[in-house]
Amino acid sequence: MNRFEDAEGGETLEGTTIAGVEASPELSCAHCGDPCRESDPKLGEKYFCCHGCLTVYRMLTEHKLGNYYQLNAQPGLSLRQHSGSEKFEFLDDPETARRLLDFSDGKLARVQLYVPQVYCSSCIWLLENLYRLQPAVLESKVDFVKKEIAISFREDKLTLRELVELLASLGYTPSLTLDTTEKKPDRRIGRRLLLQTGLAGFAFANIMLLSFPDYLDTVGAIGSEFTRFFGVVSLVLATPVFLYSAADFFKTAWGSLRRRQMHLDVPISLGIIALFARSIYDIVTATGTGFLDSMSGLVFFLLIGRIIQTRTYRALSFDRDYKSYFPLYVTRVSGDTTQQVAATNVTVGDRIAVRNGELVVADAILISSEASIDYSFVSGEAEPVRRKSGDLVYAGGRVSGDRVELEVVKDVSQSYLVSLWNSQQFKRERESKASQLAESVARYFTAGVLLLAAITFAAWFPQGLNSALLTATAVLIVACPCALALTIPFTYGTAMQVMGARELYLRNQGVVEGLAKADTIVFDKTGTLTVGGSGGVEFEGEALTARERHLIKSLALQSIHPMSRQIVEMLDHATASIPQGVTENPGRGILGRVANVEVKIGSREWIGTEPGNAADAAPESGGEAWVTFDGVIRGRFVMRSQVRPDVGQSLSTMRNTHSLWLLSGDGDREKARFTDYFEDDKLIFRQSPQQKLDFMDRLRSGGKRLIMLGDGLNDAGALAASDVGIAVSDRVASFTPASDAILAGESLWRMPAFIGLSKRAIKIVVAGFIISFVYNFVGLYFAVTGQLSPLLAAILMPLSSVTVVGFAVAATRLAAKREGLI
Amino acid sequence: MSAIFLLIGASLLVAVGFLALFVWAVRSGQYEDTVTPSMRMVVDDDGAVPGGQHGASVQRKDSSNNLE
Amino acid sequence: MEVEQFSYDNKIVRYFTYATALWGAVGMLVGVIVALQIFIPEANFGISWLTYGRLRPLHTNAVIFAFVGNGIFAGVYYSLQRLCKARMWSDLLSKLHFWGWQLIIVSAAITLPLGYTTSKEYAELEWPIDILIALVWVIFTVNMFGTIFKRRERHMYVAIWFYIATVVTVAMLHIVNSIEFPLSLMKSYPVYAGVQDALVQWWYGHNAVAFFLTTPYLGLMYYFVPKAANRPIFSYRLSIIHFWALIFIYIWAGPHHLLYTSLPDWAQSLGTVFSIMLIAPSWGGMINGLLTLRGAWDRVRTDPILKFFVVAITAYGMATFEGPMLSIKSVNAISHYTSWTIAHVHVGALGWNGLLTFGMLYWMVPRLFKTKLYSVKLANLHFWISTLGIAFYAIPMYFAGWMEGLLWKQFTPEGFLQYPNFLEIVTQIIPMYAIRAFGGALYLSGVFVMAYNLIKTMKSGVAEDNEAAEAPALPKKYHEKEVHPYRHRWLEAKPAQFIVLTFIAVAIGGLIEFIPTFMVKSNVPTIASVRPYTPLELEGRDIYIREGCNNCHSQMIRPFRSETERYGEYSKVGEFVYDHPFLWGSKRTGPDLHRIGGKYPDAWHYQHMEDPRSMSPGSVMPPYPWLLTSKLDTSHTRDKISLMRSLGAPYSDGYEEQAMADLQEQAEGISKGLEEAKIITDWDSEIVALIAYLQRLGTDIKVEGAQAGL
Repeated sequence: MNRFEDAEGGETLEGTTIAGVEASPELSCAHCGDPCRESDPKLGEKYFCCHGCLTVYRMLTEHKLGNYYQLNAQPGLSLRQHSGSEKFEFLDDPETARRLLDFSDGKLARVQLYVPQVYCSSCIWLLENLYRLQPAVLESKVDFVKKEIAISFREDKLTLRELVELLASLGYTPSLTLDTTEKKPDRRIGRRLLLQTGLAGFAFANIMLLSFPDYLDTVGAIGSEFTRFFGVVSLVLATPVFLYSAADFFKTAWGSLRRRQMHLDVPISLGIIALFARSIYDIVTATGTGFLDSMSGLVFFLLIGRIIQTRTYRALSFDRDYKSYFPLYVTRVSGDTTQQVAATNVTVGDRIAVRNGELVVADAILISSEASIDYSFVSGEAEPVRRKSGDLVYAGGRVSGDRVELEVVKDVSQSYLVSLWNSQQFKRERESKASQLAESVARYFTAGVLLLAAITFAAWFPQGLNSALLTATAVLIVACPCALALTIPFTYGTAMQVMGARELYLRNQGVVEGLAKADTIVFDKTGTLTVGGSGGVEFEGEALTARERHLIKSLALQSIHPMSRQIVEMLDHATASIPQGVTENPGRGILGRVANVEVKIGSREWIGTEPGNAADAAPESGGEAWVTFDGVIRGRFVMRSQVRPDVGQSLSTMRNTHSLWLLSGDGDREKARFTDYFEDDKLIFRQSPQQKLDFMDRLRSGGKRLIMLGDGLNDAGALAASDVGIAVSDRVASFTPASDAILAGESLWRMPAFIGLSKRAIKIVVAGFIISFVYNFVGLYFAVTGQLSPLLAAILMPLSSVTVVGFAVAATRLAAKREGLI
Repeated sequence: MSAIFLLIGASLLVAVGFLALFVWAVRSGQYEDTVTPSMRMVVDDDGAVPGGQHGASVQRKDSSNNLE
Repeated sequence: MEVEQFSYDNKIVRYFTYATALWGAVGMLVGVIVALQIFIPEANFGISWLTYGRLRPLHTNAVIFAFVGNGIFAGVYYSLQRLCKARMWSDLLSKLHFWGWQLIIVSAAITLPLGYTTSKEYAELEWPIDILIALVWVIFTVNMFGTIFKRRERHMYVAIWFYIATVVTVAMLHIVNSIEFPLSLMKSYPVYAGVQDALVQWWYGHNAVAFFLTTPYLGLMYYFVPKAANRPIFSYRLSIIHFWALIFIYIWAGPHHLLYTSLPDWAQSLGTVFSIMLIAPSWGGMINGLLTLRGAWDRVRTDPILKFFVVAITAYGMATFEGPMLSIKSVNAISHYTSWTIAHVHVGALGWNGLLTFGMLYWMVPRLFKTKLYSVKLANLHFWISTLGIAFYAIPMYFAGWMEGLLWKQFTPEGFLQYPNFLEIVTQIIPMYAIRAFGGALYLSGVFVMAYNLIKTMKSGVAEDNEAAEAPALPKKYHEKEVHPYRHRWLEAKPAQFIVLTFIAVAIGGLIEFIPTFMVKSNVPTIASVRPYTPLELEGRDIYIREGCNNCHSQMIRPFRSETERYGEYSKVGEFVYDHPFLWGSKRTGPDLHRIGGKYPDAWHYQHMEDPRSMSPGSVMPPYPWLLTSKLDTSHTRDKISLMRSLGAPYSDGYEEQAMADLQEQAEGISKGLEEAKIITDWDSEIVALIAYLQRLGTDIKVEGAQAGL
């Protein structure tokens, strides 16, 4: 989980946490703990890595917030990268404010912001003491898990913009994206379930107390007045359970009946109603104490099952789309004036300015001379690519480097990425794929129960309508599939928990079945399977002579660029000398004279070459460095990516059970590395996202059940098109497209285990069903023969539930052990 | 055994009272967030004592039961 | 709305802290004294108000209500203010609470030795003090809720919930169990008699343990353990769940204290069932506490405070596991009336309550005085002393308990009791009593070490009576966009409206409670031959109560052969219908007395009271010479008769007039009988009345054809 934590915070945080531990105090920033140099700003004895940190430190100590530094060592967020250039003018626009605020009456306002940087108790402390920095803040409460901060403030004294800027100045820049303004899910559903459960639990405990005397009384010592008293009180307690706690079961049951379906809630509702009606009869006619303890217990257990079923990862979002990443506002340039306009209002012909780290929201032509664009969250590829003036930049690209200007050529909604998103496949309803297993069981079960009840009724009718009714209700009571209903939530719930601990986070329990049933696994692009860069570099072109190696190495030694480092490594046996006139263009290349030869190593644009043939096509990974001697192109070094450790192993395992496909957008340059894992015809390269999408649909219409693993927003289509779309990411919480599950990169090799566990889980569910059936049959025997006593029900019902739950949890954990997940 | 009525009555009285408390607690969102409050109470103290060593321990634990 | 400057009331916390330490020492000192007296009767120096029967209640009351009580208040006043980010609602109420509570303790310390007692365990105090307790408790309640209402932190931390549970429930328990008819300023009789009185008493007795010794301390644990360990509680969700689970069922576990008594079978089993169900929620607390410290073991090794907490929580776990076990009938058959129970409660009191309190004090005092603890070494020393003390206390007591339980039931192959003479068994466990006393003394010495350490700490710092703090006031809860304008709005967050809801609930509860009580009458089976006590016997019974005989002698023979062999016919529920209060007792340091009537001649009793060892050599019972000399106070006899009648005793109308005459007649009869045994005693000496009562005990069912009433 720790790495998950860091992931939350992003690289600066990883920086601080590490620095906080390692860097020696006098040389680390007193605020954020980043290493400092003598030249850095200083306050008294304390060093600071940047003026941002110094300012924050001053501000906090001046406002008696020094405690912040006592709670954890150097908890602050480094403000070095923090350009301080974010502009929040757009928050002054009343319309935006209105959409962001939860509540506003002109004086008091409340806003809820997502602050990914929250990572420790100091953050909580500081953010909840905002009022000391800004008196207009009335209350600020942090939700640590959701990384959300809810702030109530005086609108008349403080604008939303000022508030956000205050947060930003502390390093807690809220992420304001298109979907920030969308309606937040209603929390009251969860509350309702909690209330229903609490009420049922309360009634259960107390009714049990009132029923026990009757059960325990062996000699009939209880006066009739007690039996009556207990009965009445139980009834008072049980009525709200029936009317409120059990309401939702009735609703679903009724709904499914109207849709001519058989939901498991139908027999359940029947059972509850039978229990309640029968109890009222018994108590009113003073013929018995009724089954109210069984009823409230039943409802209580079922509701607990519901809770387990609806539990999910509060901190993760499974339906992110481009909206989660696109900025709310962009800077439009007209002449030499800039203004902020809603991203959605950008129109063709607009000229927009994009700063370092900001997203390009619409397909646009680059105006500035050049730019390096990072498509990582579109394509999942890490290395930025270079674009020259006049090149087309696709929406979703993230500018790295200097501020650039572009001219929009398509509306946001028309842009390649967005149109991809708006295509049909995304509209598919992906909310909790309910368990088909339960559905099918319910159908036959209910029919059977009703039939049996009818038969019993008929059989007992000769003894009079009364006894016939009693026995018939008894049948419905014992047949109530409580245990049955508990099997699935507890089995899948446990499985989900185990997987979560191994960093596969399922959207909901339905996904477990999806995983188990799949027969085909599709990997989008090599990137999913490989770790870029780690594989070192290889030279493409005629083998290098010793002299050439000398030349290259000598120059490469002068650069600290990772590519150069790799090249030096590769050439470790070569000799080297000191070159003259070395000039390095950061991020582009290095040039110098070695032994009177002018050597150039760098990007193709800088070298000034055009790809001759397909083989020369720039790898998507972008990792290439061209070499020229005296202006003559000699060839290029290509960064080789490597299959993730252990993934190869698990690929071969899965190959025996599933048909594996690899869809890649790359050229087939890397094909060779995968032929050991994939059959040739299942390695498909140069696929556009749309092609991937269609391909998936073909497979599915061919009756295949698909698991798709991918990262990057442009895979989201494919992910959505599959039965189980798994987003692979190394920054689980922050950077995933819509999916059914989120998987941490370095747990990828566990896929076989995950699938194995899901398969076992299904078997366990079936076993659980059988167990509960056995209980039902035992009960039914007594019911049909008309000897079902409240005591018997009160024993049978909890007993069956407990057995099944115990079995489900134990068996699943055992299975997980078998799969090596625990 | 009329005493039993008294006892059960009194007990139920209190129990129902607590049920009402429970309803209020849930309705007013007391249990929306079941992680932060426990961390808050640890750091949330103005009378921070000199030498009352606050360690990074708090942060370590935080990471454990989240994702809920 | 501005940031509000306010201050925490540390003064009141300091006061309660002092009181805790002081009364702790006193209560435990008395404990050591009675521990000595139980095997060295002379340790009462022949002074009536120092006898075991009078000091034992003082010990239990002092420890529970003075030591633990003040400890609770100290911890609550400290943590509640900070958790609510608010000063206590009213300084005046705080002061009233403090001084009122100390007044209660002092008056208890005076009245109990003087023999003013209701004889009901943990509720011995007489009615005026009961009322005072109720008043002070209400003051505390008001002050607490006041603070909660004006809190500046929206979320109510779980500790606060435990405090609320304590305040509400204890109030209810105290009131219900204290329903009594006053006879005079310092004497009253409970409304219910015999089995019903017993039921009410132990429903209270158990829940007193639950809600005075457990829930508040869980609250304190949830505040001070995370604070001291500087890490959040292991699972906050678990703490919430186990709170509600505890609250919803704890209240029902009472009757298991009356297993095998004349309480109806089903009521007994009910107690058992719920006690066993209690293991789950109780252990929820223990697990949570221990796992919180899991990650801090390194600190536990060095930090005495954490050491105290770890052992305290462990003790809690043991006690809450043992309790349900003891409530299993077959176990209880052996454990009941023996020292096992004593060991059990002391693991709880010394381990859970004691050690947690000590840890809490060590943590709080330096903060109250803005300084560091004077000596960590001494604190560690204290820890080891008290832990050893607990071991030295509990182990021999368990052993003694098992011996008693088994030897009482031991038969020879011929089918006779192995030890027909109760005393044989008593003398065998005297060594265990001795070791126990040593353990207690050890534990007590630890308290003095702490006192020294804390005083030094206080001296080294300066008390800050009002600790400055600031926090913004809570803005009134906004209404979320998506909330439907009409639904549930009125219920959200507003305490006032919540009170309305509670009120309705209370009303319903009241109805449920009263309607049936009117429509049914007591259905305790009566026995025709059972008559009310004679005036003399009534007086004798009150002496029995005054001297606290019930602290060592039970009056409840359980339906086991071993007991019927030893004591006679087992006790029937119908025999106690005129017993206000019931005197079943809970511990048999001496033999059961329910069938003592007619077993020995009056003279035997006379001499036995004068000097027990003259009749039974080696007895550990103290002599009661003053009973022989002091005159019987009959000033209230008439009132007693009429009060008993109003409680249901069928004395004929106007019997009051005749009562004195009957009393004298019966008394003179006894003193005449004694004269024949060469014993000269005034008919109006207390001993005569006591003898009359003892000789009457359990004889009714033997009398045939005796007409009810007089």
